[in-house]
Amino acid sequence: MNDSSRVEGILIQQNGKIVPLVGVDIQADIAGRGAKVKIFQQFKNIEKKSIETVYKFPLPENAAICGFRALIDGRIVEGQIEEKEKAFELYDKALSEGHKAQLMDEERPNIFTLSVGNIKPGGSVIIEITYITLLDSYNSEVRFFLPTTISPRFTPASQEDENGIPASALVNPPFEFKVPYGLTINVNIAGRKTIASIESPSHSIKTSFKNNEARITFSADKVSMDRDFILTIIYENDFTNRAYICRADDETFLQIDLTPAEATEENQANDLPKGREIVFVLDCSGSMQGDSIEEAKKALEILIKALSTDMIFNIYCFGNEYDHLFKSSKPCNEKSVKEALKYLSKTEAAMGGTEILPPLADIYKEDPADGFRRDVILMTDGEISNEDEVMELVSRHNNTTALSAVGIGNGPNEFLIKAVARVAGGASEMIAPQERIEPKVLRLFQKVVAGRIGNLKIDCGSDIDQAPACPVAFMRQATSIFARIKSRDFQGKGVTVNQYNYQGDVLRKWDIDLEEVNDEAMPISKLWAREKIRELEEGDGLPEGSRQRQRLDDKKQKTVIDLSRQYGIISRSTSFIGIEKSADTEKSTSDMVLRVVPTAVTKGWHGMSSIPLFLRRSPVEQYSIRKRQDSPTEVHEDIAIPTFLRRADSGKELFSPFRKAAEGIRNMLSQRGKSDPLLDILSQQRLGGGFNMNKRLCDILQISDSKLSSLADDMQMKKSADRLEILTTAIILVFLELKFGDRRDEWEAVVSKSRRELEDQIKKFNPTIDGEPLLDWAKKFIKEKLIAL
Amino acid sequence: MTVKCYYKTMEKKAYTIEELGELTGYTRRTIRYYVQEGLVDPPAGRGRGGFYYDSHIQQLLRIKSFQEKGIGITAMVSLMQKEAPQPILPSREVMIRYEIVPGMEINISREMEIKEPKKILEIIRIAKSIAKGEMNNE
Repeated sequence: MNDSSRVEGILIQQNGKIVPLVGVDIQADIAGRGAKVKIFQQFKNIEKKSIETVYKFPLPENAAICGFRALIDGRIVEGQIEEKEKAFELYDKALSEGHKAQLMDEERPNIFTLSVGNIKPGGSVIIEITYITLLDSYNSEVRFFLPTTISPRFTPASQEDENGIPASALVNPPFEFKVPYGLTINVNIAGRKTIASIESPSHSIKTSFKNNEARITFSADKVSMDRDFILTIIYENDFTNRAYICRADDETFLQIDLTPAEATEENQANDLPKGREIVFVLDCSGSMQGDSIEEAKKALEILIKALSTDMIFNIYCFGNEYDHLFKSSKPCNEKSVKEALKYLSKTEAAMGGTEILPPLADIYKEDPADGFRRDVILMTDGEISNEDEVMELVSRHNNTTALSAVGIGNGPNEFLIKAVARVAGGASEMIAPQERIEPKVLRLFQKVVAGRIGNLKIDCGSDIDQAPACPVAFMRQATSIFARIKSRDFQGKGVTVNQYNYQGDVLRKWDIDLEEVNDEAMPISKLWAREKIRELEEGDGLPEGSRQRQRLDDKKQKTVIDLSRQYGIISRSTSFIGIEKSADTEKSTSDMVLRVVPTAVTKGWHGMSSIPLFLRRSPVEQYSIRKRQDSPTEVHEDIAIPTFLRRADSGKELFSPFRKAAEGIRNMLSQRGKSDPLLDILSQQRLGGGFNMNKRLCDILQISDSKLSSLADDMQMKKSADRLEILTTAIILVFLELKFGDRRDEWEAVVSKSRRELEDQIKKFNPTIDGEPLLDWAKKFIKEKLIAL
Repeated sequence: MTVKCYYKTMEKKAYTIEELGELTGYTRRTIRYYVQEGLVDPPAGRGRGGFYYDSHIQQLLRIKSFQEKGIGITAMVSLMQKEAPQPILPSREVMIRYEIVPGMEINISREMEIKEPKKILEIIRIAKSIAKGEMNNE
């Protein structure tokens, strides 16, 4: 490459094509769960002819994109919302007439196409895109997620073209292994004193504090746009139920964040059958190669061992074709579990493309057996382009089957994972390649077993338009429900959220006080509109109709376009269009050169450059910042600590960066090659429930075989039974409680059958040691052990 | 031998992209996509403001007939590649006129003349000898 090919960061690709995208900058403000994000994309034309550039890029699937403007040679051109095809006509006509124009289309809720036309030789354009969103939360943790690249989407041969254009052309940009442009970021998090830790599992970050804000930047000046950016913020306190009210024009909007501490007993809630059928569906397509498939298999092994004996289960694996363990689900017993483990051990990610639809259609073709309700747990990277068809299938069956989804692998398709779970009344989890899969899968399993909290309605004493109409909540995670009141004069001070059963009786209710907020600072109107549009686009509650989501009938599409225009947010039926009319002397109607910006292949995609397992962080090994508890006035201005040197296990100390750095490295090195003790314990659970002591468990508990045997001999019981197993199970359950209380979400559901069995045995045999009930004795015993450890 | 050169316009009616859309039922975006992908020839004239001719309509209607049979664009492209390429008349063609005898002439496209000049000259020679011979015979 010669010097002339490098101008202000623009490089010529190896194939000789010029890439006009210079770089991308992100400015984000986070307060609690709310985030306002501005994206700046800078383009420059170094060629001798005018250019039109097209750039496909991803955004979070739930973002309400409410701002689009261009900065052209110091002038600002504001974008307007227009119906999608009309917007293209305006754009195309403007370019035909020699004007400058910019267009942004939504191909999928997480894939967008930007077209910038008529950039003159030597000219530059900066595009500014603004979106607002509510971040996913769990207990006190929120997750800021920003995709930077699109992973190649698999398009099944049967997929119909969209308005005569193949879906693959709409969602897949041209891919290159390296692209010349990079990313810079600046995230400000409000409420510094409320933040317990900040961590990025995806990038090396720098944290500094100023006034009441934490500021996050990359450790490097600029990073490659080859993976999702993820920031995990843990606040000092768990999220609780909150309700907000704001007024905009002649309307009032409500936002209720419901974070139930406990699940409602689902049998009671929905009169559902008591039997449970769990069907695991594992993506074994080529894109899962590498660590993804191995960790997914490990998580599945633990889940299968955790199933109760009164459950029935099955496993499906899919790629281009699909395969299943049993013809139909079988009861969970020693024989079936052994078969399942053998089946999993032979499973590899070598089944070709990602065809999710056929295995799901096979599962859904028959209703669950009488007396059973079915949960499907889908583990996939979701790199497909026929999301609408998959969603249509699962939503059609959501009265008999809930589907929960785990997004794994490199560059998983967030839209598919979340939307498919949303329309199927299930839960979802996204897992970054640098995070361990098992803990989050266990957490999801907990949500599935504990059950969803559905049929929620806001009652505020006025007529409301609620969105979503039928929200589903899960315990410990915040679920936002919005409402519009067609009056500015609403005077209510509080709202009630009711959960109903199928007979229309109120099962549970939450009374929440309203806090007045400003629509500028917290634009609930736009979030309500986004939710409303999403519901129309995803077809929630709509009668069965076309298989293609984009074929909304005229009435629904008109509603989407009206909402999109009224509240200034983009949809799949509308686009942002900006036009700057040129003076006659500046008009250029000569041939423009089309420059399509290539996208970097996601790092680790198809097992390429994957991250070694030993470098991944399990939760106990995570490093993060914990602010100093005993010195609230301490200020750390612009202290740069690479993320991998941070830890957050105690909460008592911080923040001598150099000492911590050394400690962090020592911890990290000492953890290499070691497994997670919690997962090791869970994997030792017997199929029928209970634990048998073995070498690994003895090592973790620091107790010898002989000591345990002598304790078992000392145990007083009404009748003779397997003393050692009862004692071991009691010790393990207490150990989990005391040692891993902060990771309860991962183990509680998994060991529920052991707990039930132990409770039965305690009731039957009333075991005691030194005159104390077994569990009381075990608590003391483990407490002493932990102090000694 | 007299050889005269002239331009002959093969197609007369020109359409804007709006008219093309109305006539074929395709959106402006879809037409631009087909042009970009080489499924439809670029418009005549400069830049986006160029014009389209009947040949463009034929190309779009051919795509439509595939789509009506349920064949998507991706499959269509591979089908088209397998098929013998169908020559599409260019919008403007340079013809070379050879006068055989007064009142009789042969028009040869410049493309053909460049491709097989010897053959063309032989045809002209034979045509002339036949024409003259026949006339002589009469």
